[in-house]
Amino acid sequence: MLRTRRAAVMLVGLSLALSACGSTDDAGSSDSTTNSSTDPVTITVFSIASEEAAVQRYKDVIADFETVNPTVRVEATFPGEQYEALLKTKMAANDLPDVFQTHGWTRDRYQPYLLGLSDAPWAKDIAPAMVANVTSDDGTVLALPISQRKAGINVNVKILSQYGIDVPTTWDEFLTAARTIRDKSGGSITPVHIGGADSWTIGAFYNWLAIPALISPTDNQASALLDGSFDWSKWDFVSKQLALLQSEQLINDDVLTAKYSDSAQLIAQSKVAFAFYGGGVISEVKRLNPDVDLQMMPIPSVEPGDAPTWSGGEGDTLAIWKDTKHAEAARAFVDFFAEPKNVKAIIGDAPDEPGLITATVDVGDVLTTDDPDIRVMPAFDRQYFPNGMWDVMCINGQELLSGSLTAAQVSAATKSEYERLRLAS
Amino acid sequence: MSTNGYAVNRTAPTVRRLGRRGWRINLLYLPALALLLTFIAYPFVRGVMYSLTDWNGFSPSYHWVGLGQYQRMLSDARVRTVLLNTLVYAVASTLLQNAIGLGYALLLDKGIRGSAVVRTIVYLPIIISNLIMGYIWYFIVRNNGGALNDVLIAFGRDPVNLLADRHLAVLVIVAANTFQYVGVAMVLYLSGLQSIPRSCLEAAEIDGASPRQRFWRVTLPLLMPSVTVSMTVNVIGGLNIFAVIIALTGGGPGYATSSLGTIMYQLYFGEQNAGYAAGLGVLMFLLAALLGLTTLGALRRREVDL
Repeated sequence: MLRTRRAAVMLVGLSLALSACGSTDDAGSSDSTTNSSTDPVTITVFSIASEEAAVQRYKDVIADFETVNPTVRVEATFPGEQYEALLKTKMAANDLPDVFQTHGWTRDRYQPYLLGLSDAPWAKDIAPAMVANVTSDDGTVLALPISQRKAGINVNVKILSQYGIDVPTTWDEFLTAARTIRDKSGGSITPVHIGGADSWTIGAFYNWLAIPALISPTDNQASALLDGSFDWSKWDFVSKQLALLQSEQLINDDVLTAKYSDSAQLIAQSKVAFAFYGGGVISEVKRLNPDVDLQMMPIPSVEPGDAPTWSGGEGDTLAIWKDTKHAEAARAFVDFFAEPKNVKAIIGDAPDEPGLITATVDVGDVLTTDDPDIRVMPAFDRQYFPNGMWDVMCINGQELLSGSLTAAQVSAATKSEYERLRLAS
Repeated sequence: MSTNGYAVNRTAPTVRRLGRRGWRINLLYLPALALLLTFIAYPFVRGVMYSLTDWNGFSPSYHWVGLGQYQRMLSDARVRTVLLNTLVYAVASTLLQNAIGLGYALLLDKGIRGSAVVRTIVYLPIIISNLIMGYIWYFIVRNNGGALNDVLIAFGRDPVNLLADRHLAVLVIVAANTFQYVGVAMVLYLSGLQSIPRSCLEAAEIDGASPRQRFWRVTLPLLMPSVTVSMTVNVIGGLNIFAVIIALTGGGPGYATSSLGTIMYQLYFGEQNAGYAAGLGVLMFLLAALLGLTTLGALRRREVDL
């Protein structure tokens, strides 16, 4: 009996000690928020940056921030490809990082979880093209736009000049250029390389070609895609072009087993003329071979009378979780990233525009043209598809290339998921 | 099984001897029970609940759809493909791992020179992460610069793209999984073989049994407890295969090499179809229970007591 009592006393004592620990912790975090000038604060930051150079740029700016703000410690996480899955899990648990990137989904996915930032010192300096992307319907600024993406087709201009080909401006010219390279190179150059084992590379093809096929012409499908009345037989065109590239051997024959990393290696070896990766691959290729003459060209037009376009929209962003316990430190962190020198540092050598008018960057000779009249169209899936369609495009594209689905079946499968996700959203 | 009978016979009188204080022994189960309820039972019940909804995986709201997700599975060609793949991964991996593992065990049981080294080498892949193992195999079989193709080219042969063919890709995944886990079967069989009394084999030999007869009539029946454990573990492991597929093929092209695990991941996180993914989770549970219990039941009947 005595032993039982002793055990009970020990149990109660242990419980009290544990609850006391909890109280101390709570009090500490509360103090740290209100009195950040003296007590150390740790904020968690999640970034979608995955390429080594981009991650390093973030780490450098974070280190500068910690130097300037010695009472704030930053726990930065770079989950790479798992970023979206991780953030979705955290949203389900309502336990998000203090600061995180919204990668094009500020409004449609993350909005309910974001702290309003309209009173931030940089809020009035958001580039006009980015205002709609990072602002709610009631005018609340939801995220800091560090950069505006400008993406196009990667092109090895040395290969083009070697075969006497001008940078194509229409899809027909693009196909002709690819055929010329295929025929004249004798197989030593792959006209278009797609690392389709990483299914996002196929999604990128759909996402880019859908713009000139469905959006950029004067007579376009934008409103039909938005109101749900889109005639899905028109989606066949994009699939048919991908199938055409495969059937005419204009893309690598191992398209379904090659990975993005294989693409980067072959591009760096000047064995590839075109790729659909945009600015991200350029720094990776330059790291492998600084001498390769890799640039980015606008997406060729499809319809007669239309002009080439860039795919664009939200690039790097930073937003704050609305329930963060360290709002003050998180705001200081985001404000620090909004400083022009840091905007420039994060953009690095990517061909992106700054998201704030206070910053300027020099994209150098990465683009085949600096024509300011070339339109920057919003990323197709983010603008015209409901949240969740990206993977549908990627997987259906793989099914097409593997021969499991025809172009019409891809359209039917895409329509089915479009309707499900539209209903859910 | 004899060991079970032994445990029951010894434990029951002990508990009875403790009398009224015996219930306190049951308190020792509580930590394990708490872990089981928290990490197995609760998620399972929630999973079943989500399978009756159209939850997207992160939104705080969702709609009840009843058995709609299950009805959809019946007409979903992807589910048929993935179910077949999962069964191939489970059954083929199990058979290969056990056959090769038993072969190794029989060889090592003879006490050949260097058996410790062989045992270590065969067991070594288990300590490597599944994902890393998948990538190692990817670098062996990939079309562009893969080790296998480099060897073929060096011998003047044409390179092969094993992952391009969906059927071959499934077999490559089976091979990678087998290579990694054959050591588990080997160790289980080796311990089983070493527990068989030499007198039984010597008696059979004196009675004139050939080596083949000794294996089939004496060794294998007495090894059945190990076979039961190994087969059951391998079947369940094969059903859960995930990381190797992600590294080798990503489940693609499309869903051609996906398992139930990878398609659940894809549907949940990629296509924001968590309700459907949860339904497939329930299907996977039923499949694992069915295959596991069938294997266990079938093999238990063949076990013999010493």
